[in-house]
Amino acid sequence: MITILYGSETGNAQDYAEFLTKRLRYYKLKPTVAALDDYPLKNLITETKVLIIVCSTTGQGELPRNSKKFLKFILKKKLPSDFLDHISLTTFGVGDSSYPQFNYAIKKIHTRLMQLGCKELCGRCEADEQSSEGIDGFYTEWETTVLKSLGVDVESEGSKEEVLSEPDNKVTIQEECEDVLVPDSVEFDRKGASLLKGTVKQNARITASDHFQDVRHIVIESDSDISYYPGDTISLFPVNDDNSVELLLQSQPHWIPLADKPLKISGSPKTEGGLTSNLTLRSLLKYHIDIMSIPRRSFFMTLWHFCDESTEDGEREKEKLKEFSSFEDVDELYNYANRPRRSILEAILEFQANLNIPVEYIFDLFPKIRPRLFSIASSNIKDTGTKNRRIELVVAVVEYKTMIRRIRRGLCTKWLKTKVAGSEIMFKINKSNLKFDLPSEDPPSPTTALPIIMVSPGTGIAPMRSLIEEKIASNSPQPLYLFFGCRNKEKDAFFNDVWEDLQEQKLLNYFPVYSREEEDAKCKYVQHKLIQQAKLVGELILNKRAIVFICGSNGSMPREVRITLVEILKKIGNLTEEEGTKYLADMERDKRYIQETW
Amino acid sequence: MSILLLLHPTVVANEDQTDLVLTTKQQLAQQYPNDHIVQQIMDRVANKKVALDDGSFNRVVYLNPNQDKSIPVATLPVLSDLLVAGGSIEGDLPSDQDLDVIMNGLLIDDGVWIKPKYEAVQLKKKPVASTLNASSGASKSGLVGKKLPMFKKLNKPSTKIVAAPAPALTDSNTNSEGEEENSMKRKLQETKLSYFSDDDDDDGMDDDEDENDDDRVVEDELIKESDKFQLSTSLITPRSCDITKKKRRKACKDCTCGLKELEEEELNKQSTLQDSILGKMAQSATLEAMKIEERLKNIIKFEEKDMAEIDFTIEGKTGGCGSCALGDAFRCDGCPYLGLPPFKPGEAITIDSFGEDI
Repeated sequence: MITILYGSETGNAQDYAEFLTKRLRYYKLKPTVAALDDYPLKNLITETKVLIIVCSTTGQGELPRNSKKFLKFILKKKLPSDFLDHISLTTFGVGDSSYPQFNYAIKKIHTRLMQLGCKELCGRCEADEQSSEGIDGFYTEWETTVLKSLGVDVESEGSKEEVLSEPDNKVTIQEECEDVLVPDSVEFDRKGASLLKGTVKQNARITASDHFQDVRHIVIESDSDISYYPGDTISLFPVNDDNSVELLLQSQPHWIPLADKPLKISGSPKTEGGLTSNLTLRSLLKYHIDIMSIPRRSFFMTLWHFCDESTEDGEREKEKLKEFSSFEDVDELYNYANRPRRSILEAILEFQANLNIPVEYIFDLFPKIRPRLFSIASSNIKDTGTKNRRIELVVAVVEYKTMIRRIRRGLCTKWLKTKVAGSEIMFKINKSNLKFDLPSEDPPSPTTALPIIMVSPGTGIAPMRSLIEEKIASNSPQPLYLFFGCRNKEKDAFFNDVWEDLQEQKLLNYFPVYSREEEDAKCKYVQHKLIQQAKLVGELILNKRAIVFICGSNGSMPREVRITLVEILKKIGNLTEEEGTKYLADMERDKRYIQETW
Repeated sequence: MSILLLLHPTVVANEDQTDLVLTTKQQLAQQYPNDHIVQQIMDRVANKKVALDDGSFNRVVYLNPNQDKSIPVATLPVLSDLLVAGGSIEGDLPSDQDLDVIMNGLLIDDGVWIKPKYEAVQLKKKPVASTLNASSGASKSGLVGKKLPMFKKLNKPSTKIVAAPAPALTDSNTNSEGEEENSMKRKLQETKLSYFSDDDDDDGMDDDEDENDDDRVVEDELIKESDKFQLSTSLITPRSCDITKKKRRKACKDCTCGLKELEEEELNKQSTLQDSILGKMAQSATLEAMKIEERLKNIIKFEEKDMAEIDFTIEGKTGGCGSCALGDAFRCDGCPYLGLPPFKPGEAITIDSFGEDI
């Protein structure tokens, strides 16, 4: 009757949803929890009376990947205005007010569900990462209201019982069976839809060997025909290394004799990309369970139940684990896990002496490995006009140090390093539906074709490379302008030779800018270069209706580029601040201003 | 009895269609010589601009020469009410609104809509199901016979709902009771379920291009709508942080306030501390090794006193808290061991267990 759904890109919103689920269970309520896209929609009619949605916002105010299907359904115009009038709704948005489309996803969901007849259960919440209270501060306030609205007497002692409910997806080991040796090839044997297989043709470092960052140029050749466009991404499915899996197994000695027996998972276990075949405990841990991610609050909320408190040490450890799962002192978990980027595996190893994790709970307890998305850096068009099977990527290897002595390595990074030339690899192509020409151009001619201004520091170059290759291969008359930023010309100017070559052939207008070449350079970043070229940029946008495409790491870059463009419009177009801002907003609406940041 | 001839507004507006009205009227008069014919414009009837008595017509004939034959759902109950039991609606009717018609308690027989007589038994024999395609489920469980709920009027949408889609399935004001209510609920549920196509729950759906984008609400419109909804009035915000006394310790991604530098400095300091501890450990290991040479290779045995010794390298630190060995979860702020794995006094640990990166 109570349904908790989440839309989550990084797992943050999911954590709040799962945390709330567990909290409600303490108060003897029986909520169902699922990703927005995993919940059978018909159950909204047949099962749901109270609907609680937790959702973050990604991209340009869009919904996360695991909620697109849900949105697509509720947006149908044919749905009547009392379609969901049997539902009481409350929503919690996980957002960041430094983005112009602050909490847009939850706003969209909430508004639409109200249009479809939902009543409000209680006040809703738009949490702001930028606020001094953080998302947690918003959550606790909202949770209190939700609990009250559900008739829970939070004050009364007897209403709450901290018991762990049965696992939703119970893992059962078939102990009577013989051990199975699961071959490594199951990595390519997943049940997920639209998965493709290919071979890595190249995995080469393209930054100088003395450069701080290892950036790889990866070339994949698909086994089958593929179709993609500039702006599309691919999902890769990383797996744990055997050593980490072994460490986890050793930490739970009672798992060891069971590790290679076949197992079953009850319910409908969900994981993006689907489960591999012939599951055993060992292969489940290797291919699906994310032990390298940072442990979240909802993880500790289940974990502390498994701590044996019969000894003094155990009692103390249990108390600590429980502390990590509460909001009493929010810094506690942050300082232990998030700040030093401690992994789940490391946390378990620290507490292993008194931890006894029942096998049945493994799927419920641990987060699942999520596919990693990368922008495609190549074009699908062959010189001959036919389609090729190549996909190229530009991937920055994630390696850094925190207070923890051991170097932090991204799970995907570590795994990708093992994918040397000749290795097989599984992937999925995700459509972005970005358009880099407008329908008005027919027939396209050099005088009317819309120019494209590309702004991309660092590995943001990936989709630009795809776009440039595509436009040149298809003899597009659209003039191309590339503003590329990096540290040093000799160290991390990706594909510099290619761009210079195209510049010479008059196929590309290339504006590189380096931040570490000269100490006191005035022009360091892409936004500086844009201002330097204000007249050109302003005229391209105002007179030639240029499309602006920005890609790179989020944070200050996209914001500063935006401010810079408003300045340019003011200067060149004699617009006021307000007019300039509106001009950009209109461009954005007309899809002439495209921003892909991560 | 009487016949109501309903005219679509365009019929009256176009002079060249007056003939059409006349012919229709003549035909009706010939066909039903005993009946009185009343002529009205559809919109006026639908909006109750004209006073017509409920249950006063045995036949409603709709004249609509336009391509679009659709009738607003809210109008259906008005028309139904005008009919006597057993009366019918015929003429230019839409063929794609069967579900709406059924939901309004009317039956469909060969393109004619019939208001059922209250004697349910005989009507059950009517081949209703065959006229309902996908949604036959809704008809089977007996829509006939009972008073059906009233419907929301289209022209009085609640002020909040602006872009909301037209049709409505229920009127929340209806207060039917008991069994009847349950059966209504079930029926309503079935009707609601008819809005799901099979692929809505399909896993593999990435691109069902058969559905037009025009059939969907534009996402951005919802943002504009959200203002009209005054969503902000129901917003929950955290109580001021002055009360909770919690301060933010995490630097923003693009920190400019200096917290990031502070964090980095702290990190470097910690690293230096760790280096010094590891150095001492190595030294201690050498000493130990010299003492017990062959017996222990590569293994260090920490005694309580060794640890204390190492711990004293930190200014202002007494090493007396006893938690340092327990791991980061239990270590104090500024503990020199932060970032190193837990260890226990008297327990043998190898340098290896510190991992590959030392």
